[in-house]
Amino acid sequence: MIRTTKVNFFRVNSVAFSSILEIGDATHCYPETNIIAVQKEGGVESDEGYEFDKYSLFDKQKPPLPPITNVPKKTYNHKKSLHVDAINITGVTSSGVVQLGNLKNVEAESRIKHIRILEDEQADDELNSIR
Amino acid sequence: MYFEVHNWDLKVGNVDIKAVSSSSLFLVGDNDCMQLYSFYDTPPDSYIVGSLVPLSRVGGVETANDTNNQG
Repeated sequence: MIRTTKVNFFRVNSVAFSSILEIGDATHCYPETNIIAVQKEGGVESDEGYEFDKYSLFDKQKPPLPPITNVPKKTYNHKKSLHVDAINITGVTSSGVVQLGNLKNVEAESRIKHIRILEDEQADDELNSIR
Repeated sequence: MYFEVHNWDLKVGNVDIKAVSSSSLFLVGDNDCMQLYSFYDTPPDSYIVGSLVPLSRVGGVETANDTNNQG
């Protein structure tokens, strides 16, 4: 018997960047997100020069999971529903998934590359005086 | 081995979440298989600002390599 999710109160403020808010059952879900976050002192003018293929992080192989041991499983749902009184979510973002209902298989992946570009803290002549 | 699961009552009061982000999942329901991968790269070097205080002595530079060469 499949269980039904029952929620009295559900509030989500915002859903952004390919995120999913699903009410109901699903069998598969494969969300993926690739991000290059550039923080530059003085501000970033353009996204040029920050292509995904420039960084090895985005074509790295996923580490293999331990082999699946086959254990026969049987689930008995004695009640036909599960209850949540209230859910409050401020934000769902970057391929995040919020689902009320059953979801058989999920395989999510996120790759985030952070880049910080800082201006020199000390002027060159200042540095020479230390030497 | 045989794995048997009995689901009886499930009642949750209040769930408060600030954010579900970067291929994260919040699921209220049943699930069979879940795999969540995350690759994160924030190198410490990106924080370190260029100019470093030199560690050599003022006037003469004597390093481990130099003494080895003399001997």
